[in-house]
Amino acid sequence: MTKPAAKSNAKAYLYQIKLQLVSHLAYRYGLVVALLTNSILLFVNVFLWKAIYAGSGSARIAGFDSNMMLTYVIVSNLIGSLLHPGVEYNVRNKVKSGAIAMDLMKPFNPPLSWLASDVGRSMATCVTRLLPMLVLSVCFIQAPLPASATAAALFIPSFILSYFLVWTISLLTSLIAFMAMELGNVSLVKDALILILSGGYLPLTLFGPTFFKVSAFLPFKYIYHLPLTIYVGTTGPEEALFGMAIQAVWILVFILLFAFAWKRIIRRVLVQGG
Amino acid sequence: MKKTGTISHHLDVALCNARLQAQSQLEYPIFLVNWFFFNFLQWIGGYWILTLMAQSGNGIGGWGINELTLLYGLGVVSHGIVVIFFIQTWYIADMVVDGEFDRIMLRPLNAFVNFITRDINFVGISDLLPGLYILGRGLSLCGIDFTAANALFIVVSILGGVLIRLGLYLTLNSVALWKKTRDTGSWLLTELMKSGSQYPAAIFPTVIQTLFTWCVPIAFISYIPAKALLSPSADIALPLCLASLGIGIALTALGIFVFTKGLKHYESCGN
Repeated sequence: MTKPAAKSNAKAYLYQIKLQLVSHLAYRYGLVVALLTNSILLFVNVFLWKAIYAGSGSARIAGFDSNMMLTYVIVSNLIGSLLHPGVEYNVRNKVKSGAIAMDLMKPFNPPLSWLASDVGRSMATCVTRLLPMLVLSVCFIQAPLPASATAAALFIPSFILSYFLVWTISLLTSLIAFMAMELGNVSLVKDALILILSGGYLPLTLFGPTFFKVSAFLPFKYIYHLPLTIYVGTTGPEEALFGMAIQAVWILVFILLFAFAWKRIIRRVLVQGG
Repeated sequence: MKKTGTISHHLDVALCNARLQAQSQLEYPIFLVNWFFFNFLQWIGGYWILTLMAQSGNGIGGWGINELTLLYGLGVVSHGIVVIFFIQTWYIADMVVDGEFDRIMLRPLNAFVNFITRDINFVGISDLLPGLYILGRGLSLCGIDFTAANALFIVVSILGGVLIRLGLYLTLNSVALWKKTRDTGSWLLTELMKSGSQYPAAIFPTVIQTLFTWCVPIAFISYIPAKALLSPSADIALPLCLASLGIGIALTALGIFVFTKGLKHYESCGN
């Protein structure tokens, strides 16, 4: 690709990000409901853990003291608002309406443009959900501070890798829409599985040693559990770097799988309407 | 032909609707299988998480895993029944915006009866079955014998929970008949009911407990009935179960009143 072409492509992706950002900020009612729903979930989780610690008679549960657990719950809810990519719904709608044909004709890479859309959406979510929830947490629960400066520094790249990991899984799931013309609630099932198996609800150490050992060989652990345990300090720097390497490997695996499937699927796209 | 307006005529229409719904939903078996899988995962997975949380400490809010199982089961069963029979109350706002009440109001039937019997959602069975399993497990773990009195308590409690949910959805979403908007906060209510009916109210601060008991009586869906079922004496259990049923009846009556009043303000450009 020539330099001017690459520059114009980058502009197109940036425009897509801006478009998503603006359009998501426009639906005020939806934003308020999403914020309230997330806040209810956050506060219920916090009350649950407070009650569990109050009744346990033990200062630590599965290696977490009460403050660490509350930080884990708060940060899990905060990052959780960003770890629900819209790529499946985006692709499903495009396949159903036939708009996918336009994406294939435009002079840019469709998956990258879908990624740009999700990045824009996530930026809007940061402003409309993540920041207000952070303020609510600081005011009414506790400031979710990292275990150390190193933990904070390692958390950021690990979370970015988590974002791409969950996004590539969603991208692969979206291919079902090309084969079945409909996704049904496959995305809901996938999201529920990810939340349970990745430590989005609870630290994986609570699931027992066998489950924890098996989870090391699956990609899910590296979506919530790794960045969260880095943040609260139960995963040390060396282990964190090793975990990030595994995150990168999983992302690569999913990208390769997608590229393999995309080449075959794209040859038999059925476009109706549009 | 049966005379319009009679109970048997309304029942005939309801049965006809149910048959049509069954036929149309069975046309999409993959859709049903998908939902069954998702709901199984949601409720059994949720119960598993609850068990892990309770076992990690010493129960939750003074409730051990046995009592929590009963509480969780009661909540899921009443939710499942609402999803099967009354899911249309979740979508009143969409029906208003899409002008769907035009047809309902034109029919020679009571509009509310016609509305409330228009949908039988078989997906709800996938909520109900895990709920029944968890409730059965909870009853067994708590050592509640299957006597006629206990069976009556359970049925009354579930009925109370169903009516409270129905009344709340109906009241809140009927506001759309005045406001002509999809923005009624139905999903927020679902989330509130989920949180307030699956965990002991004792875990919440006093303000929220008061709110869930006296303002939006979500505690009466399963928390108070579960406490009633667990109480050693029928003298305590019976009034609590009946209170749940009474509140459910009152809320449903309020919902029907708001819905009927709202219908007078309904307007659309047809469809």
